[in-house]
Amino acid sequence: MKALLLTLLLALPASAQQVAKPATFDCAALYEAGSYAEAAACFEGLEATGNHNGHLLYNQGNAWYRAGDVGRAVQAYRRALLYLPRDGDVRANLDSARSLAKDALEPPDTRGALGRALLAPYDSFSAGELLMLGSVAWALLFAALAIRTRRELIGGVGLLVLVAIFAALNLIGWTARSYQLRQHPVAVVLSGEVTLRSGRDLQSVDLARLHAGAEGQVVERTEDWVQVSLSSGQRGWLPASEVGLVLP
Amino acid sequence: MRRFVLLLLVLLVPSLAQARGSIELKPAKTTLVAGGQTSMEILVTGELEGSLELESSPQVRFVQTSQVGGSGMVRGRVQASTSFGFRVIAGEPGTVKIGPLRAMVDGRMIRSNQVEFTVTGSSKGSGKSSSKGQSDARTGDVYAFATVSDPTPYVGQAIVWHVEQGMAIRARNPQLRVPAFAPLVLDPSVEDSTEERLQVLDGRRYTIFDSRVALFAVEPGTVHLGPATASVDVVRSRRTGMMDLRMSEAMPFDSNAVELTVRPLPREGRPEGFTGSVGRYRLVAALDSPTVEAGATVTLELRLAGEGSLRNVQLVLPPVDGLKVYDEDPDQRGLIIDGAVQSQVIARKTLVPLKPGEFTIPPIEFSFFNPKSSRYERTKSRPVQLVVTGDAVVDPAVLARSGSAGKSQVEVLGSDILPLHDGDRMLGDARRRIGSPLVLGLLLLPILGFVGLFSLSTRERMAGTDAGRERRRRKDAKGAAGEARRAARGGDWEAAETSLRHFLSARLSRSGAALSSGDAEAALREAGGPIDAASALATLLERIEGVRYGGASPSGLADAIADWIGDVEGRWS
Repeated sequence: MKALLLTLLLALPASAQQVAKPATFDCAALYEAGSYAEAAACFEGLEATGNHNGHLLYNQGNAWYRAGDVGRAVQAYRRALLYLPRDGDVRANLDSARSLAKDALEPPDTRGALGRALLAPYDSFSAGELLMLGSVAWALLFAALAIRTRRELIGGVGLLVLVAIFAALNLIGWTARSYQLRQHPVAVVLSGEVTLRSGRDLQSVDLARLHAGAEGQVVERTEDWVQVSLSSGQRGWLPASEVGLVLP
Repeated sequence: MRRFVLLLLVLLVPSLAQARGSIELKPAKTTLVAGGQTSMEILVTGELEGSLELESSPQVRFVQTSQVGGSGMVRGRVQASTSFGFRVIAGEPGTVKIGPLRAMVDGRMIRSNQVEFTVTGSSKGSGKSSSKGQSDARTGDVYAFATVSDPTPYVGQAIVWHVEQGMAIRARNPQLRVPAFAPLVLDPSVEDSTEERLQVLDGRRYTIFDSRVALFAVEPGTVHLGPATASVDVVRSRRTGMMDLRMSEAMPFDSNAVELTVRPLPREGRPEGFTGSVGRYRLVAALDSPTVEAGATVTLELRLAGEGSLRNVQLVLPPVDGLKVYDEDPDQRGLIIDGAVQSQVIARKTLVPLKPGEFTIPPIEFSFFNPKSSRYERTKSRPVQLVVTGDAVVDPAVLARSGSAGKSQVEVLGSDILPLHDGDRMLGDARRRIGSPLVLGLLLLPILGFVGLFSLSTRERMAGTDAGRERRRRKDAKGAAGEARRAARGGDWEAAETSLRHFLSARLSRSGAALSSGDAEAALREAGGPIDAASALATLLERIEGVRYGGASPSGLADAIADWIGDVEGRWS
């Protein structure tokens, strides 16, 4: 038991230093020089070296936007929002990128009105923030319980119940968000024009013609095809190679 | 002696006869038409030293196509042989003798036979596609015959250049090298066509490859399209001694040339807006819905199709008040069907009506030159009615963002995005997972702390009660009993006595340090313990003291102590 505790205690400071800084990529300089496609590739290289955060994805979105690739710009901004849900810059630039998309499609949201109202508070937090809030609340709950075995707590049982509810809500929110991202992420059309089909083959009926930047909610996925649900109510299959998923 | 001479002749004559090499010229045919071709094999029997030289002349020239070496048993000897394949191309009319060739074979200078080629009158310059030319060209083992769909086209008119490549022999890998088409231009809007078919010509079964491309002229005048060069690989086999030689020989052959006369488009009658399309076309307009709400979109499809190519055609819709028009990229396709060019352009216009009412989309015109009637004509779509319902809209671009016009307007706003995020914020991993040490620490450590503190508190609470005390006493008694047994077995009588007293004091809940044997018996009786056990305890303690201080024998004492402890633990619960 002591060994386990020691291991966990030693692991805590180590977690903050896990990501080593990669070699210097002057991606911003490429961007400022007008080499937008190269800058986007540079930002993607930074991500490939273990840097996963909203600021990097935001910059990636800017580079794709300037390079004229609306689909990849929308995808990058949406991914940035997963980390920075309250960042005004990301939302503003995402709106700009969406305005370039040809298709007049609202961002997909399969939640009903009640679901939207109930889950609205969660939208302001990223999955990581929900997990950390829930974990800290959980730690506080058991710390309070442990203290309570030795002495009386200010606030008594009522405070414990409140902390327990807070922890549970955050951990449930994190679980739901993780499930949503894993099973039903948002898909963004990357290529210039792609046909939404009724089935997973080229012989099936053409339902709609989508353009770069169009967003849909993934319903089902196979290796080669992605079934998406559009805000216009249509549902169909797109080639997996033509879309990018919004994943952290 | 006669027998010996006979034997010598039998052995030597065939050897001598075969030891001599040979060179043989074997043309497929010796009479050629100017511009025609044939093949010739030169068979060298024996080891050739050096190379063979064939001199070309104005009448014939030679192109080597293959060289195959082999060896076989000929009359009991291994005989080497080499076969050289040549293509003989006829030039000017006349007669020419080839050979005899001289070369070193098996160390001797050998002379070949001589062949005479006769080249008859030219066929060049008569390449106009005519029925006479066709019947002349479609003969022989292989042939290539070129025609055009119209030998007198107009400037801009798409014509089909067709090469028919026929083979009546076993051949493979047919290839075709087209001539330079200049000053004609390949029509980029029409797809090339290649087909394979079987046909019987003059009683022979031919495999025919048809290659067709679309061309058009940009200026009037006479155009001479040179011959196309075709080739196939012909498989030939030849038996040399016991060996069967197979060789693949490339057989090139040319098609006929074709002459065209390109006519200019007449100036008179040329309509305004004529864009150079030559052919016969029809224009049709249709809406995907006759009614639509204001602000919604409806698609107008303009389909222009017909015989002839359609290059860079733009179908423009005249402006209609209250109707916003967005152009989509047109679909254009041209194919060669039944030897003629057929084309189609489909232009789609996305219409957004801004106000309710009844709209008439005016007819759209397209002018072209008809080569059949040799005059300018035009096709016109019918006017299309559109009924718009609902209320007028202010900004339809928000509702329907399709179309290149809206796209370009929005792209100007590209500089409005907010600048990059800089600094080290870009670096680092912001992902949080349930399995990360930080999260695991936050989730597990408090539980462990809580469980530890909870169990500690429980133990402390239990220690203050009767049950807790009784449990502690029993535990101490059990420990002392074990220690007493071990000490007795080890002969440590002092420790055994002390442990026995501790056992008793733990069971009696009193200190046993000063307990004498008499006191111990009395205390045991007082506590309600078994009477015989009390007396046995007194006896045991006395025996231990006897061993320790009186030098008595400890024999059986250790067992007696163990038996007593077991007896007391069993009966005094």
